[in-house]
Amino acid sequence: MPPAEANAMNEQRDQPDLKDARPVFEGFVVKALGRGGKTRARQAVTRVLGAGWTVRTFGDDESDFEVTRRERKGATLTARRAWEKTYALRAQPGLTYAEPIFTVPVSGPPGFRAEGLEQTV
Amino acid sequence: MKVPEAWKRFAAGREPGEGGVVGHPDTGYTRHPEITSRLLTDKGFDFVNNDSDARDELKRGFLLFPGHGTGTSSVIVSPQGAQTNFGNLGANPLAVWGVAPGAKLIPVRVSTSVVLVGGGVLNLARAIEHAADKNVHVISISMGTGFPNSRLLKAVQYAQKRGVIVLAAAGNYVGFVVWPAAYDEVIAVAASNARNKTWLHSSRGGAVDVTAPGESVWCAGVEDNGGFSVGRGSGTSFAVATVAGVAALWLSHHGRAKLAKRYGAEKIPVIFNQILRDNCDPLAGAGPGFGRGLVNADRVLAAPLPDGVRALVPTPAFALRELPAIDAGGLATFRHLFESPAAQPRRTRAAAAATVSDAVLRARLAELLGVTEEELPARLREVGQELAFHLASDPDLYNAFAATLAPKRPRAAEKKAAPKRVATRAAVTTAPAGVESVRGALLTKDTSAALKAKVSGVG
Repeated sequence: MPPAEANAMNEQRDQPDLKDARPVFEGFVVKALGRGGKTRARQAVTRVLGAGWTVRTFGDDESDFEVTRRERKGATLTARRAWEKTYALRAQPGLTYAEPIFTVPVSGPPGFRAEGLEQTV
Repeated sequence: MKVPEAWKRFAAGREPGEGGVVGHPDTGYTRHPEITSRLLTDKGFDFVNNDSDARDELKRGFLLFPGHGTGTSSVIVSPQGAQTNFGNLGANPLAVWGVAPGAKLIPVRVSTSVVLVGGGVLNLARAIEHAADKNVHVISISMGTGFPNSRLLKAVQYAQKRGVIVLAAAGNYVGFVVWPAAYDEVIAVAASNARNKTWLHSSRGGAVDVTAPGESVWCAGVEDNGGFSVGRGSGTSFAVATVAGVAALWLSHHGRAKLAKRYGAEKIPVIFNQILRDNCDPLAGAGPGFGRGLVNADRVLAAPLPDGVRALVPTPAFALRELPAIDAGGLATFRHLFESPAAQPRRTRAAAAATVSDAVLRARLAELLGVTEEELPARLREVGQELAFHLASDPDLYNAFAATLAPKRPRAAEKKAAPKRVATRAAVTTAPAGVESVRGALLTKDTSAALKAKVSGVG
């Protein structure tokens, strides 16, 4: 779920309870070593996840790849699906590692915003 | 924190922090008088809308934090003296004095919420890289997530390799230090208060490097009608902003270019971290988990620079390991999550000071996963990351498992009847009934088939 959608959803809620704030799946990180790593990463991603995913390098290591939905508004994966796809990616030949990227909200108790300018953030 | 004393080390006419550039991934900026003159908005970026305008849209709602970036920015760079007549107090208006008033700040908008609700880890990782590419010297992160990923870690390493000092908030109202603060490469900052005591709701743990004021900190504010104000806020968000200001002061004091020439830019974060930790003051009554104590800005600036650092100081970012131990789903991950597992938010100082032994943790995890303690490491390699994810992301499940780790108090009748030696043995842990309830919850949750199989004993 892209941030804009998720936040719009959050705004509709009446009770600010952190238990309502669930982890949000954002993508995967995969690692494919050596020459042709990106091709192998793409092939593995297509086999496991199907079409509609972007595979791109990031940072300084050309063997690291970020895997995200091509369409920002594409359907997200549930936690269960994300982990099952992670295990499937790890089993793919050509990939040496895979993990899901989740945003997990953890901070702030219910009623975290006090009156006036006092804020707990 | 002895910030005014540290300022006196700067020559007259030279603003403390001058020349420093701080990258600031947060909720975006506003034109608040307390920060506007210090912003380099042309170098900013908005990763929420994917455009170059990092302005805070000030959206309000559940777990949203409009104006958060404005408040934390002001703690770092607000100029000395009053910028306007806040508070209508005549000759002495309310004002914020940033720790490094001579520094500049590049705002990068990554989320509308500092708890990164609705996505934001990818944005945060990209924001860190963006700031590093804009040649910032310090990155101050007043946000965090409850579960690690190597995308975020690699972004931190990318910045550190370019000589950027990265600092992050330890977290609020949660029993463990959040990520990215939990990474070795990041200076994790817990919070204290004006009485030189620990802030009750600060995250704490072995990952914390230092502590700084984070309770009722004066900062720039944005009111519901969009008007600007000055007020107070609490949280490790402000503690880390304070220490980011100290980092900017230190770089300005020594001259960053000189440091880079002498040691190599990539060593600067490691050297600063060491000096920062070595020059803290003790915190009154602080238990473990608050790092080396309260930051002392004056001592940090006065500390001599190390010799021979090229040969002696390792640079953690370039270690060959693929995953840090706390990310790998092994015992270290669970130790990190549960080392001080006070139930949130009913934390008491006594509960917060309690620590969990590896023996108890190992026993409970083995029980939960239906294996012997000898078999546990292999089982954790299979499903440890996912198990940690579910425990970290579900407060009820987290608290239920934490309860199984708490020392058991012998009942009054047991105390009376049993000899002292036996009572001591009985105080080890709670009964396994708690583990059964965690198992039951995991089996009904949105967990993978693999984890369900391991937990139910059929895998």
